[in-house]
Amino acid sequence: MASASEPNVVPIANGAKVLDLDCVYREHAATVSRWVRRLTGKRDVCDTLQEVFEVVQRRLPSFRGEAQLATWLYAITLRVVMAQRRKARIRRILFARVQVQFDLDTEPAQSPADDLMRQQATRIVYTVLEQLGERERALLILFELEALPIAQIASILQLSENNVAVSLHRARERFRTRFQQQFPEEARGLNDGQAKR
Amino acid sequence: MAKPSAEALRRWAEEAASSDDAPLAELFRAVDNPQPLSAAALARVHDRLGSKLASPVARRMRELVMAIGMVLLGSSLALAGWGATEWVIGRSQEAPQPVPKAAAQSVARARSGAHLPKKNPLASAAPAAEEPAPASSSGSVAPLEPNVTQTTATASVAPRNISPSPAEPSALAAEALVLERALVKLRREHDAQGALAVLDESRALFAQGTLALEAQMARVDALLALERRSEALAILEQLPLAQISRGGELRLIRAELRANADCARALTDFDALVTQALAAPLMERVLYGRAACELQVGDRAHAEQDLNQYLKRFPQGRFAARVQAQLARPSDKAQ
Repeated sequence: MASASEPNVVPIANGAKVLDLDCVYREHAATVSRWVRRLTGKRDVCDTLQEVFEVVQRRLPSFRGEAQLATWLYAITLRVVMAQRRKARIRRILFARVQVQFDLDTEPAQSPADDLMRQQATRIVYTVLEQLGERERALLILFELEALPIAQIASILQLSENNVAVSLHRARERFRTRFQQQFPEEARGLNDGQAKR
Repeated sequence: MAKPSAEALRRWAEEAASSDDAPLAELFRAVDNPQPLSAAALARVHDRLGSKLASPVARRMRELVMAIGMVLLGSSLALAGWGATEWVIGRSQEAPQPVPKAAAQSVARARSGAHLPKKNPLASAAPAAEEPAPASSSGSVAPLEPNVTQTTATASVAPRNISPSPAEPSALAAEALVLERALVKLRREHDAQGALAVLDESRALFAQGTLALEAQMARVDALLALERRSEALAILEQLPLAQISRGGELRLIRAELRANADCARALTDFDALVTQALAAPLMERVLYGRAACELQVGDRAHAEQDLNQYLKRFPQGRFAARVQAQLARPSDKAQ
């Protein structure tokens, strides 16, 4: 889990530096690939990463440094992922494709039991997120999993901070309800474990 | 309800064990933290990016073609919807029917989802395609056998240019409804045999219909689902694949079907496909299929090039184990 102080936000671009795609890719591709994995819940994200940097290449000339480069990249990444997910959802509805699987490539666990618990928690969280709307899903990932500050989320989504707070509040309510509906045993198990302690 | 403020929100992972959200806190604390892509994967994406960005004209062309395709698809759907509305209004007012009686019956059946009659007098005029095809050329032992049947689930109906048609709009609506019924049977109900029956009826009623090409593509999917590969290949040999948006995928299926009996012809398809900008899962099959055919015709050197290329691009691909095994074998020249 990333905390707000961790470098999930890449350094601010040097205003004096001339940005070209190669330079941006070299410095930020690894970080962006991690964001894409977080946002999609998938391990194989090469195609998405490529699409993100195609958009970056198109829009790089219009980047004036008003926002942090990281925020700007995050906004592009989020839009590309959301667009891909919408297309995938339509394809699933039209052609009855199978549901997506979640298979994040993660850092090694301390023990197999630890690994299993993390896999299970990840599966549950992403399955419940899948039941929410795209914006609510993105909000929860940015706030709860990426631990981004509200101000940066507002900047990425181009919303006011109050709007982000209200939307987050609703998204959390919906997540809570869906979690209890869809994973009653897990929710109960967690509660029981909590009560025992 | 009090308006939530940004300051009041605390992340679930930071909630105390005694709070109401403690179970969620435990859950979110346990969630995996994803790692970035490996340096090799990043380098591969960089290479792909470089080659793609090198041809902005090609990109613009692709965008233009996609935009035109979307416009045409939208127009055809609007036309079909308008035709259906006209037809429904015409029926409700008991106006003279512009559609043939048999088509109207077919539409009624398609709407109700009723089973098709076993003997349709119109269907007998259509070429019979019901008897199961003989087992496809399993006698030809390919060193690596491409998998064809897995492609059927990825089918989609290609957008198509609907020019002002001489047919009545109501006839188009009827044709669209029958085709829709076939697609529902094929993709939702997974009843390929039933879909073929509906497509037979559609062919009998609308042999020169506006949606004849879409019907043929659906027929290919149904035949592949039934493992009637030779019949599917016969249809694919006649389809104008270059004009279809799904042309790349269909050409790949044709190549894989051809590979069972005639690797030399299959190679012409594979060679053309390998230069196209295909989605990764399709390109994976192209490289694998071409290598299989090259081995079949004794061109070990090119086959090894393709197999190595496959491993480079798809190290975790679904054929990777077989490719590695093939590369590990001693070549014929050495023997």
